[in-house]
Amino acid sequence: MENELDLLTRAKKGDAPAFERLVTPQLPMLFAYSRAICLDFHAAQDVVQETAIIAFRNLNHLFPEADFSTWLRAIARRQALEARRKLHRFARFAEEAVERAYQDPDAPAVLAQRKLLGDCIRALGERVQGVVEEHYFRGSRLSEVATRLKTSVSAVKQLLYRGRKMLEECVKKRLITEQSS
Amino acid sequence: MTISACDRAREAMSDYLAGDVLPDELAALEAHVAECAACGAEIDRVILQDRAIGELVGISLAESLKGRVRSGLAKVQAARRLRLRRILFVAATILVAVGASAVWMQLPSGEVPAIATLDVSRGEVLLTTKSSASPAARGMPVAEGQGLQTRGAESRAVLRYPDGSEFELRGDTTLDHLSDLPAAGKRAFLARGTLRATVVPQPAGRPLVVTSPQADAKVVGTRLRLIVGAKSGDETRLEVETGKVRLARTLDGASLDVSAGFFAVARKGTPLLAQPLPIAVQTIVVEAGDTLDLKEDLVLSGADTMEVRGTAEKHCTLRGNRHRIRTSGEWSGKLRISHCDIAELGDLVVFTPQGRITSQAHALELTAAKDAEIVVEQSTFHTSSSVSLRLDGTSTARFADNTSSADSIVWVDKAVEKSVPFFAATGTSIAPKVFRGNRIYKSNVQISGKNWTIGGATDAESNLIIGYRAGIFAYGEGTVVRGNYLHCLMPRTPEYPYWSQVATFTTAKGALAEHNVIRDGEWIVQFVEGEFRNNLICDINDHNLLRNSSTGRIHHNIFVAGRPDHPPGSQSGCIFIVYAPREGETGAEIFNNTFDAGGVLNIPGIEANPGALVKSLRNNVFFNFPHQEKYLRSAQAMIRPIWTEPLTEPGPAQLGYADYNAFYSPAAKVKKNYALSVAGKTERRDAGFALNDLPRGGAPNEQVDPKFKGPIPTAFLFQDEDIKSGKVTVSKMLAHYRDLYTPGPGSPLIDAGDPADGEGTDIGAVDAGKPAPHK
Repeated sequence: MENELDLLTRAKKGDAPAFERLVTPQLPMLFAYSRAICLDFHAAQDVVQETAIIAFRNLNHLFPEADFSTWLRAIARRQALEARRKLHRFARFAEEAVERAYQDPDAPAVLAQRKLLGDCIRALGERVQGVVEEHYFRGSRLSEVATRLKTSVSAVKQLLYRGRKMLEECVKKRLITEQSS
Repeated sequence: MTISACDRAREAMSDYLAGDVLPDELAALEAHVAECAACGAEIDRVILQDRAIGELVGISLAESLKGRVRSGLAKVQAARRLRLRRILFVAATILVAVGASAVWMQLPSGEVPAIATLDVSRGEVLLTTKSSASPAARGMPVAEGQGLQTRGAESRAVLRYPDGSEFELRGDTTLDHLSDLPAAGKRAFLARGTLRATVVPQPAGRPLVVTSPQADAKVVGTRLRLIVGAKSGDETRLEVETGKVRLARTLDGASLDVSAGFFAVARKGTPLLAQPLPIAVQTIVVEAGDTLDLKEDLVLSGADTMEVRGTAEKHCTLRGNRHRIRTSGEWSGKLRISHCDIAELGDLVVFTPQGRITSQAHALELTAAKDAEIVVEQSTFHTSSSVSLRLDGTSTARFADNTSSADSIVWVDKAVEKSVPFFAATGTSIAPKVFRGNRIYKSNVQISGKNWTIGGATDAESNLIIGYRAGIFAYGEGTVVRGNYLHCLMPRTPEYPYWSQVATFTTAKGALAEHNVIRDGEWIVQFVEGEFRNNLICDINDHNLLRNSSTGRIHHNIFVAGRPDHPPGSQSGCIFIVYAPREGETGAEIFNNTFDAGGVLNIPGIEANPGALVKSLRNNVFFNFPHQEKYLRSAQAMIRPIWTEPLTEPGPAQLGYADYNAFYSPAAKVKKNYALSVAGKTERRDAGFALNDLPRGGAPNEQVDPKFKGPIPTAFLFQDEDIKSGKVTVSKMLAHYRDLYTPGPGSPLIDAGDPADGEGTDIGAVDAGKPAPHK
């Protein structure tokens, strides 16, 4: 298997496929991180693409002490903040929480949740599941979800809030079951 | 059922994450979270869940994201190939272009590289090609084959080449066929009007040639004026101010060398002769209380002198009207400005569409040669631009007791490459130079020349640099940076949603930095490769309090966390040693420092990249670090390898000597003192590796309360407004902090330092038994 250092050396010489292999494992994290900052599904995808381009162009500026994924995240942060500036107000406390949540790229709590979340989402009731899928996986705005479900935005907000709580409960229960078995 | 404030806050948080929260709900949420610890913890949980869901979505989008990345990279590759083709194209065309430069004229301007930039554009200025003419603005690039026209008596344009050479056009002037090919050198055709050229020495065999209908003027490096058709329209007059120019008449090939102080006229039927040219030295004097209104750039050259003779009682006024004071060609005169209220001097920077700075328009842009002298003192700069000096020969500069107000138009940006220093000085002059007593309230000071004194021994000489991208970066040997207050502001606003590459202080090898108070920045101190002592460093943001190479002497400094005004990012150690020793480097010496993490920094005291070396780590206090089990990817420790490396037992041997240190972090969950080691020595068993750490002879990782006099501050203790007003001085701040971190009664730090530093040496930055250092 190619190691990160080899790929990095080749990518610094302009080898785009090597860079693509280097960056691919980071894409889901970069997307989640960018979305958490700019709070927009579509803008987050733009941010990921732009981050990859900027990183490829500037690989020679990668600090010797920097970790590649942290460096990518730093670029994504700048891009996402720019995107957010055009889109939303932001809350400082949330931003700090986002930084804490992403500080460890391999946070065990995230890996454990990610493994169980798919099943938990499928176990949600139809209406809540619809809202979670529409919003998170298809990037629909809450007003669009409301139109599709023929309900109000505030009702969609409630469903999403309930969905988050149910998912948390579900993951917690399944973790306990896993541990006890 | 009633809904509690916590429930409302949690629903609002859900709405926020969905990107659909109302402003008043967000404000209420922020207020609630500031007071409710339970909801703060809940938010961490919700965002961790959001990350997990987001990554799941990211996995589902993997192929689409990969496709977008691939297409993005393809565009980068295509752009790189296009650039390469252009370079090859230029190289190939050189062969054709020798003697046939008109080929370039037929090329669309977008396909050829820019050769110079339009640096001044006043009145009606046109950028021309063979078939078109369009209005030209400052900052515009001028491409191979293009030309410039000024129309009307008041019009003026200055074209600047990357090597510093410049053409100035005035009145009704037409300059065509501009060219700068590697094999041929700079070329231009003066069809009519007046051209003043200042030409820096050109490469051997590639003189600059200006052609007119009557003659060629061949220049290697000089200042000249060329006038076509001044009277009858059928003559070319050449005036040479410095250097030597060969003038060749087109009609018959007759030529002569015209030296400095002479002129010659190329005209049919007139002998080609060099005749003396009276060159007047310009002297500009503004008497006390008078006003100077600039109608155009004030240009100094030769031995020109300018004196603005304001006094404390009768200030002068200089209204720049967005013009500048600058030099042209070799200038060895004097510029003295005292007690002057300067307004609107210099202009805004101009950016290319790609965001690159193309024209700066400094307030003062002076290149000083021989024994030129620059003095600017007791003056204020309002809504003005930056100061840029190049000092060569034995020229000197004194920039003292000036104020650049916060309304300065010096461009400061969240991106470092788009930011301009307020004061920049370069050059080879080794004469003593001074920058002291100044108040700079926007941007920073960058000095790469040698032998500058920045600040001084008294409070009156302290520079106060407070504002966006505030800082001092002094790269020259023999430079002393003493007694300054630097506070880099990095507010997060819609205009500045982030700050990138913010360092606040740098000095180079052979420089001394002492008694400074340095606050805020991502790397507050970034590379101090000479002596760095007796400073106070405070208010860490992302990254480090100090980042250095394997060199430098860092001692008797107080490093405190303060109250960071920034979200946590990729923080790393208080001191991070980045590079392995380079030629001539033997490792950084870090001794007698006090590190106070303020109970808020879960970061190491010292962190080192693989191969980096700390030659000596002694007599330091590491205090109040709230270490958790984990530091990013691996276990936490006070002295450790970079955060990406796992800890080993023993740690890598990157310490040359480590002893007589003290550690005390009562709130730490993990207390591990050393995860780096000294080659061939065992921790706590061998002298030179922690044997004499406090408590002397104790167990590994043992800690002891340093019993500082205190009280230990949790935030910086002084206000910028009080510092600006002079109520609080640098010496007062330093004295106060030194008092707080003095070992108190019964402190184990007293007399416990390395005897090699003198009997009775204390551990830490402040010695209870010795007088405080000066300042």
